[in-house]
Amino acid sequence: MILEFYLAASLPLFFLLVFLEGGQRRVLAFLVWGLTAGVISYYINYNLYIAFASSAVVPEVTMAPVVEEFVKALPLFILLLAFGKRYSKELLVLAMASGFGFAILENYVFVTHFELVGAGAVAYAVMRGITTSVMHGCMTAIIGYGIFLTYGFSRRSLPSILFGLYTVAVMIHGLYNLLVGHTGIGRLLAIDLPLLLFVLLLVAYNWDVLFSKPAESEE
Amino acid sequence: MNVSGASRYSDSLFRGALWFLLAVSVGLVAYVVLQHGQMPSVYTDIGNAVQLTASMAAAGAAAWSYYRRGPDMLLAHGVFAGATWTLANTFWYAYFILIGEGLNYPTVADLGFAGVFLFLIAGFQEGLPRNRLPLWAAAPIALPLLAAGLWLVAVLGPNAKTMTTLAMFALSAALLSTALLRSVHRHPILLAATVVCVIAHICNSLNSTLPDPPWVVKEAGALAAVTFSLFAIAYLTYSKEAAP
Repeated sequence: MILEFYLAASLPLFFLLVFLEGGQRRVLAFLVWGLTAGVISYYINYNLYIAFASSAVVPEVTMAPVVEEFVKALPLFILLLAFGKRYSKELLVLAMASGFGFAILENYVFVTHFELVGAGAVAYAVMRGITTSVMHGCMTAIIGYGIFLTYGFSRRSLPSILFGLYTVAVMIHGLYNLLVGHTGIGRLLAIDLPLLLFVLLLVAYNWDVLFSKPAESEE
Repeated sequence: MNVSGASRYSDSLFRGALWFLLAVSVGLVAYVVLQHGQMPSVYTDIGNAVQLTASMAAAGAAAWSYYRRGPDMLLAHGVFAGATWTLANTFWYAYFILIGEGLNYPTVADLGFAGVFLFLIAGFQEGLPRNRLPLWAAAPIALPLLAAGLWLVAVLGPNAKTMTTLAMFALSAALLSTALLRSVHRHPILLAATVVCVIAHICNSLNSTLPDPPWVVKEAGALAAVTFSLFAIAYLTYSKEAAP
């Protein structure tokens, strides 16, 4: 059903893309990519889970973050190669849109999988909406914001930095998946982590506004 | 730069704490040697606590030096390297506690350790000027490391473990070559940290790859603690040396 849901959700958005311009079009395009990344990752993860079913690995902790973070951030890497250094901190928003698009599709998979009903289903959906979904958005946003921060760096060190940022996103994602699957303080930490990251990214995005000198503000 | 008395005092205090951390880390190395790698289970907890303290101290020292000295790419990347290693080891330790002893190699943590190398390489490239040595001058360092990694693949066969170890050998070669071509030897503590970093991660890879690893490679954790204690001291020293 995942492919059917993906098509039903993304095709109308393609029609909307025709009418949008500039930044709005880019944000929606990244959201659609996030949905697409969700489908691609689902099939890759599914095959990896089958391939490693007999081993002692924990796929959702050791494999899913590696696959998902790469596919979600793929257009960022391509944008960088195609357009060089013509980018701004808008990359953070675009990356986050990709992450949220991914989360929409993943939420559909989990909500339908557990077949919950009544208040439990609503509570589960809300919980996923403010934790896992925000986590997906923030992880890709970290890569996007990191790329923005590398403005002015030599091209030689860009691959190192890009891969470095990717590893950061994968590890936080892996740690989140590891902790959220267990009870106790670890789970509480995991639930708080996405919202904390979101606030930090919000502060980073608005750094100039929040911490600009009065003279600069007047200008 | 005008450093106030209070700032100088806190700087000395921080530096003293870092030297103490280095002494504790070296003590861990000595303990592993004395025990011939047969450590009690409590060593894992103490060792990881020291490692995490050291890596957080390295990230903190780089951040503090960056804040005090002003924009410097070596220090900026140092923050990322320290923070990434902290994240990777937190993941490894959390996995060890929650999932248990059956820890597979490679894990996501090993990807994080690779990320640390990349941030260090980028930091040297962005923060230190290229010297006049030709590129091939790095060959005596890089080629033996690559050959050792390839030899492991040939002997043990290509699989996830040997390929990850080969990648770690390649990253070590790249880091040491960059250090050579960017004259890291002008900052001796930074060079020492870089060399110990490479040894620690190679030991870790060999410990997870070899079917019957020698006890010496069990030094990996203790050496990682030494690495980041040295990096922390190196960043403070570097910012002092480089300050206008």
